[in-house]
Amino acid sequence: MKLQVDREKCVGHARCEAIAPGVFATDEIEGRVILITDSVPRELEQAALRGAKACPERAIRVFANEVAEQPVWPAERLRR
Amino acid sequence: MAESRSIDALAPVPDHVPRELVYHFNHWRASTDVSDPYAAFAELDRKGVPKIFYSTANGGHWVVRHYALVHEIFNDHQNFGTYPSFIPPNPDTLPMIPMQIDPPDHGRYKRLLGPLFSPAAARRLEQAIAKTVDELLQPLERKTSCEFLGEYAQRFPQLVFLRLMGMPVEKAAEFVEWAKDFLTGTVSEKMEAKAKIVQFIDEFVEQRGIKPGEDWTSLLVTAVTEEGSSALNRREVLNICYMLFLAGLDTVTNAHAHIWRYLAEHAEVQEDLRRNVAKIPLAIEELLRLFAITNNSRRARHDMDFHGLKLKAGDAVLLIVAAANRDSEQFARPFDAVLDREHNVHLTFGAGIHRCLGSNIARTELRISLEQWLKRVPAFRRGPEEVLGLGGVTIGLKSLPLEWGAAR
Repeated sequence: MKLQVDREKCVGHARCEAIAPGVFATDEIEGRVILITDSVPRELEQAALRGAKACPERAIRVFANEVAEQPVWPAERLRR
Repeated sequence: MAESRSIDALAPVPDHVPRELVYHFNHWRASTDVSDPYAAFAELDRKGVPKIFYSTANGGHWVVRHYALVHEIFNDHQNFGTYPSFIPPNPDTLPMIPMQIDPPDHGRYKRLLGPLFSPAAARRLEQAIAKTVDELLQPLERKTSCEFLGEYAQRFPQLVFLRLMGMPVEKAAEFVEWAKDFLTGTVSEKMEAKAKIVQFIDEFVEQRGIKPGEDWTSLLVTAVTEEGSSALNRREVLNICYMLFLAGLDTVTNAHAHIWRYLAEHAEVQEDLRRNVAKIPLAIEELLRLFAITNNSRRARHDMDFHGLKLKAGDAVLLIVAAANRDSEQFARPFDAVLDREHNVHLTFGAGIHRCLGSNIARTELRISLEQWLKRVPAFRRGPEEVLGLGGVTIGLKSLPLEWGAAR
């Protein structure tokens, strides 16, 4: 799994860090998201996806692997 | 954040507003003196009120209540400004920093204040918050009932505020009285209370300027720019302190009110959380979604076309987050408490650059508060008295009698 964050979209809700603290952190000045690792270890994949989904700004994109072009999140309009 | 009063008189409809979009909706009254303060919002859908409509209450304003639109406006500070934005208009107030300051000035304040509110900063406050919860719970442990707002939920954020700012906690009793008058008093009591609070803060800011400590007031007073000059003048410090006081006050109180009421009415959920403490954070998140607190507002910064409608510069727009959070386009089972809801992107703390700065602290306050309650107070239930809502800038309850221990 590979992650990509858009720090322009991020406004520091910090939900990603709350849900997946091993994957996401926030910087101390602006509170924006930082990736602890952009290649997610398998055991943290589920948490990473939940963390991405918790972002109200959709600032985190999740790809199945290094070469995937279409993200698995956000997919086009998803509800749950 | 109760600064103004509602106006129910019919405001004139401006020429640019299509007549078929006019509907009288007073959000101050909609949640007040009814047992479910959220019922009126769903009622709008049942009555077929248009997605974007123009209310003739409170001086006249647009109303937006669907998730996608509310989210869009929160994120569009080019078109929608935060000051002046009170509904009804309140010409007497200065813009509150940073809540009612838009770019380019917003960034400077946000960078200065951000570090105080980061997740790490909230973690550092856990001890002080736990201490406050402990102090308030001690007298309650010896009782079998309480009026939850007056005996706990109002005092808690006030004490946390005093502690964070480094203000003398011995002042607390007096301060709590002022805050109470300010939130629930008559117009003249409100004005008087506000003056006392501002004076108290102002004197304290001056003291800390002379003899700084480790508290937030001192941090603000002594903050410097990269060039080494003073980052905030006295007026700015006073403004920020007052904003911090207001923003964390009835918001945190009301969030407590709705969550504790829900748990008092749902014994099985309460027991589940009592046994499974790890479920508390997500459960709080879901109850925050279900019971949004603030009715936010914005003002059109210039004439524009908005989803096919003409908006004129100065038009006020009410964003009903409580309705957006229950929008079936965004949330499955929107009216149910799904306590482990995964994709819970509620807007209770807003979105965009003006998202609630205090959200990490508020969440920490709620979590510690609920953990300790469930640990130290046995199964609690509603008292026999009626519970009524109180609407306005925030949505709360007038009172919440709780009972525990032996059945009455």
